[in-house]
Amino acid sequence: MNAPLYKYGLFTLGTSFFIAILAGIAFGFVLERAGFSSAKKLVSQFYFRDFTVLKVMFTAIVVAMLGLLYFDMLGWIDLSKVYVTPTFLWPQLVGGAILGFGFAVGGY
Amino acid sequence: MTDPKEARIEEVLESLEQPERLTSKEIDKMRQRQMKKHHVSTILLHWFNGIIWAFMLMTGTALLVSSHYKVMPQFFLDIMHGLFSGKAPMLKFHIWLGIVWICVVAVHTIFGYRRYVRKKSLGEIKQAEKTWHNRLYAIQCLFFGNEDLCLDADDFNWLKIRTLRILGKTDEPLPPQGAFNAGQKLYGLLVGIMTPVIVVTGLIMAFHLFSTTLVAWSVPLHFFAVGMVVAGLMVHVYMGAVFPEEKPAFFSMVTGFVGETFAYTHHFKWWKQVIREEVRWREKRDGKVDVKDVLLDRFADREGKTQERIAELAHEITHEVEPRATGPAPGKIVSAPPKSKPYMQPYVAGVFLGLVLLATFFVMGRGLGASGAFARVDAFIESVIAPGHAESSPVWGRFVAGGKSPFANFLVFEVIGVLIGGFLSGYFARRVRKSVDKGPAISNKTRYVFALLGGILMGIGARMARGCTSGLALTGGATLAIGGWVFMMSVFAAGFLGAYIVRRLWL
Repeated sequence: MNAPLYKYGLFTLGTSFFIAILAGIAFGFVLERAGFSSAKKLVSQFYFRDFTVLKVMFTAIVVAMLGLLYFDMLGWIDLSKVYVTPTFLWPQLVGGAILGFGFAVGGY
Repeated sequence: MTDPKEARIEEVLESLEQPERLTSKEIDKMRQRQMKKHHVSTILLHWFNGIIWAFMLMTGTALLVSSHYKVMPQFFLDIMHGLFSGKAPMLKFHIWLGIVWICVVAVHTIFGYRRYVRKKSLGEIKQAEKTWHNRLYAIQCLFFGNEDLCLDADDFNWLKIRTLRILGKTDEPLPPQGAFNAGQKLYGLLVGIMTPVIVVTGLIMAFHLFSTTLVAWSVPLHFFAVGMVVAGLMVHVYMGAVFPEEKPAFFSMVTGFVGETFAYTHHFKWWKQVIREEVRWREKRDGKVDVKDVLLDRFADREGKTQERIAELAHEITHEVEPRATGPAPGKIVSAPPKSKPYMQPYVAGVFLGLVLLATFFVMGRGLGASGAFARVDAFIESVIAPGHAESSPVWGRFVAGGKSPFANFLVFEVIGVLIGGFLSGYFARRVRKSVDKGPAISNKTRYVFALLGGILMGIGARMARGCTSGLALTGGATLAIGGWVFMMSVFAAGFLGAYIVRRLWL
């Protein structure tokens, strides 16, 4: 199979926006189901009261990571065509710290 | 023979396990009374130590020029080397100052140890029950020769409860503390253990004692021991200089005195000790002790009560049962709002989220995100107001290059989807309602202000890092992007640390 489908030109930019909305709906739906819509729940992790955020996030990362790995092993996806966020060490370190503090202040 | 009156005071003091809540009158009265805490020699030694440490740290860190140990920036090394005109004179200064310090500390230790050792209490310790607390306590007493500095069972409990309180897990009252609280004692223990290490390794290095191997080993050991003390020193200085609650402790290191209110509330066991001493002192001077003068005087508002009553009172107050907060009277039916569904199990939700992300990778060759969409809204506004500037800006340029609409992007549509999806999920789970999510201690207005502030910070952070928790931490994490993981660790580190500062907002 030729995946990522979009990168192999299976559909146009316009269609991709439609897909983006669908992906967004699924994303938002799952986030709300997990309880990410409650600022108090999100912040509770920082007070060691509720680790939902960490649990959900790391489970998701592991699932997606393993999925990509197996898809690659089975030859279903071309990993070189998957966008990997570039590394900017210092900006990401400092930006992360600012965002993290903002997270605690604003509760996302 | 002990005087029966003194025995009664002992009894009353013993029954006071925790400081009682003071009335404002009593606080006023207590505040005027000062209690002597530190001897002049202690104060002088403290500041002598502080000044020497400042000099030693400055020259010591400036001596570390090799890449393995270098802790200070180059400009600091340049300044220090310039001040001393070279490394060699600075080393000499470091060594001689160190020797002066060792001499003073040694004199204080030798004479101080003899002064502090209290034969009577050591005998008591020997007879004490053989629990691990008591054993540790005995070892510490032998080490310091001063029981004021030793962590006892109450102190271990204090450390536990204090930590839990910071984490918001309990509101148990803190166990009463002696002349020094458990945190101070812990720091004292650290310094007490590390000082001999610093002294011995320092001397070995300075005079190349024993073997070359030993000298080589002394370098990291010296470095490590100083590092441990500095770690504690940061907390020590913060507590003394910044932390408002410990202000009296700081001033006591200048004047030698603390107000009685502070002693009563923060060092209750020590306060009792001072009262006992006062009773003995009065007895010696007047030949008789009036309980009223010593103790009842402190509880001015409760003057009508006899000394026996104080014991009862203390008992009552320490075991007081808090009345339940006003709730619906039993039997009364309160109309409950429609019940919302519980949230999904976190791990199950995580699997679903992972699958959504995986599907996005599979279909689009990219992950999910959020902050990018907002950046594009900014780019749009910018391109409307100042099109030329937007295009030439390194930030917005790539969003609007070649007359492209900044909205023609995956993330923009995805975020619109997120809004729809989130609403649908909330609607079906009957969670849609108007509410302000905040801690109990703040008003809605405060919450709005801090939400805006937090949002601004997150916006800055996200754009600096080129991503937010979804775009960089989640997506980058799954593709094992180094930047994503660095960002994630940084976010959580800052979140956990920062949360303590803003705990009033949430707890």
